[in-house]
Amino acid sequence: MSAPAPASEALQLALVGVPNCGKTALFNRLTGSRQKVANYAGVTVERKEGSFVGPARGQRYRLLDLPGAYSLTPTTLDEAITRDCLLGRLAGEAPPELVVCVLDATNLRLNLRLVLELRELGVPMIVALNMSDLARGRGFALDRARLEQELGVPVVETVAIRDGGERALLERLESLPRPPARSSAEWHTPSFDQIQATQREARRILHAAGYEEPVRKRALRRLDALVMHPVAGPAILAALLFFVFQAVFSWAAAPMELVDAGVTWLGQALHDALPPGALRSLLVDGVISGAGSVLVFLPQILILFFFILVLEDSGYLPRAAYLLDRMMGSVGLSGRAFIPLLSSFACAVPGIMATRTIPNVRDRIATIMIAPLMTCSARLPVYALVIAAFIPNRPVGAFNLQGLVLFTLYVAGILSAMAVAYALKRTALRSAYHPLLLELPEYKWPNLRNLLLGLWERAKIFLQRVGTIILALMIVLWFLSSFPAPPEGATGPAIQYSLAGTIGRALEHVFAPLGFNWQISLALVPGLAAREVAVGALGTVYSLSAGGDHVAATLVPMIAQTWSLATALSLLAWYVFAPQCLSTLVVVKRETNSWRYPLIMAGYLFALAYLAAFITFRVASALLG
Amino acid sequence: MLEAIVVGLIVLAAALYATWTLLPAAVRLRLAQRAGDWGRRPGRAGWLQRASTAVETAARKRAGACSDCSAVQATRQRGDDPPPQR
Repeated sequence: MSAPAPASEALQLALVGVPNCGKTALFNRLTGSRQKVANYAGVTVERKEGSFVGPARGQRYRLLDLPGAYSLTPTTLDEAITRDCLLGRLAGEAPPELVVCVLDATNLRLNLRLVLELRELGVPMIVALNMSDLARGRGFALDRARLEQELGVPVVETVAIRDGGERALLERLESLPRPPARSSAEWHTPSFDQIQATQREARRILHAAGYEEPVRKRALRRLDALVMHPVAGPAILAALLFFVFQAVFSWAAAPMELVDAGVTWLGQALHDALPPGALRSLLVDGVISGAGSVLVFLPQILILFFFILVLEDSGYLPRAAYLLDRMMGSVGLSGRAFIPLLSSFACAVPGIMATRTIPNVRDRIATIMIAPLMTCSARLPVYALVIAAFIPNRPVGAFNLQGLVLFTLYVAGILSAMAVAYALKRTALRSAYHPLLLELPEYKWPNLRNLLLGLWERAKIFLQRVGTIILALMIVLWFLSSFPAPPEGATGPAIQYSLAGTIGRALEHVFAPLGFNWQISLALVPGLAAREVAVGALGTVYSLSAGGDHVAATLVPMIAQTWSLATALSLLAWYVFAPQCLSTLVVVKRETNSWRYPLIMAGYLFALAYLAAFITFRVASALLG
Repeated sequence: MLEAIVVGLIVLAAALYATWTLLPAAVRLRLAQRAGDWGRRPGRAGWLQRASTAVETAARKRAGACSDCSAVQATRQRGDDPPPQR
């Protein structure tokens, strides 16, 4: 037995386990972090690190959260990260001294193979039976002490989503002597016979430990039969999505008006308090009109994420993946592409990183190439602005017209992605169809704490963006829009003579066929940094264009007066395809290890956006006059 | 005159921040490391050493390439904030 480690020296722990067993929830509980958790497999695709201090002895722990793996024989990139980390193959990273193998207590049959492989590897280990409360509540039977005896390693119960649910693990961790430092280990892919022997051993251990699974509740079986029915299932999915987009508009109206009133009041107050001059113009026209016009969309973004988080936590999403597998397969995509594409509705960056769970390289590249076509949350402010200005807020049957248009835009993005995937999979990225093997998690009531934390994180991310990069870009844009000063005797607003005005008019030549004026053309440029910046840019440019000594009215009525409906529709069509932000291109480069794919992606999206906006503008102009 | 200086400084700071943020993460990390090494050379003032370390830490925190991605939020790096006492 080794002596207890000195409190100052951090002991390196790693959390491993099959996908969706609650590793990240436990990581968050132990370290106080707020990494994303959800009720489906494949949320963590890279190694994450945190640290904490034990309560009794003050021992410091460095904790790694590794992507889920069913065994040490990887089939995907994320599983390979886990194996390499455990075997000490990652450059510059010592193998963990102790492994906490997290098991889903409601699914031990699938989980135990990994424990047995780790035991064979000789890794010092503690087994954490996570979701033990859920298992007990559902009638699973297990003798924990006997399981511990059979496995020959400590076994503790944890409930990662509850306060104090990690206590047993911490107590056991602190009672253990410090294991000796490990060097790299060898692992050979087991033969089919060896895998079968491991499975037999897992079954024997579970039998010895008195493991019994309850019969699944009839109501849940019926619910599954309904939501995964070939006809009723897609109808329910469509109705759910439809409801979400309706809610985004109808529920957000009051809080948006409140934020808008606050922004306008602040602008007016600054206008009245400061003497005329550059500083007042910077604060009122640049900061308030620019960043403020983006801030207004916070309620809509939070409502959208509320629904996404509820669906994630409930266990419905993998069922939706199952439903859409046929559609994905018909265009040549792997069913595994569903989760990455779904993640792209929040932001294409985690979506592209989540493609690491797709084993086939060509399938993975095809998914990466279409991920930016999923409508990310940064596009929502642009859509909402144009819809609020041009689409009447009136009912159409039981629905709201604005929500209907938003739903159509999201559907347009999905259909375009499917069309592009179809083209890619029949030409450059042809590969055999890989059937979807998906673990369906049990339904769960969304956890209120996770939900609130998730919304808080989204609000924080959005506000941080508004307060940092968007604000910075608005200040730069204000400067470019205000200088050089207009010449003597100039009659129009100063912005027309500024550097930004000159750039906008130069770009107008390119975008005029789409119906875009110079203000829109100019706003598209900072929109490359992040799409919602385009809204702020329009706010600043129109505020300065308004001129005079009055605070400009809010953006919505201003663009409603100056754009035609054809221009508005053309801009919406542009943003369905809009060339993605720089961060996405950088991540595509990192994930594909080549500039080829980001360049192809930027090129094809620009071409599609231009074509779609051109056709929309011409058709709308012809029809609307 | 004072107003022009204040506005100029705000614009300069915003331009530098935007450029820094929009740089690819690898370039940002490399630059931050160089700045850190330079700032921590023996004989440098204490505030300069602290500032260069802060720049390096901030760059490492944002190495996920996209601040919008929840996957890179709140990742605690070694040597960052003190770990929670369990």
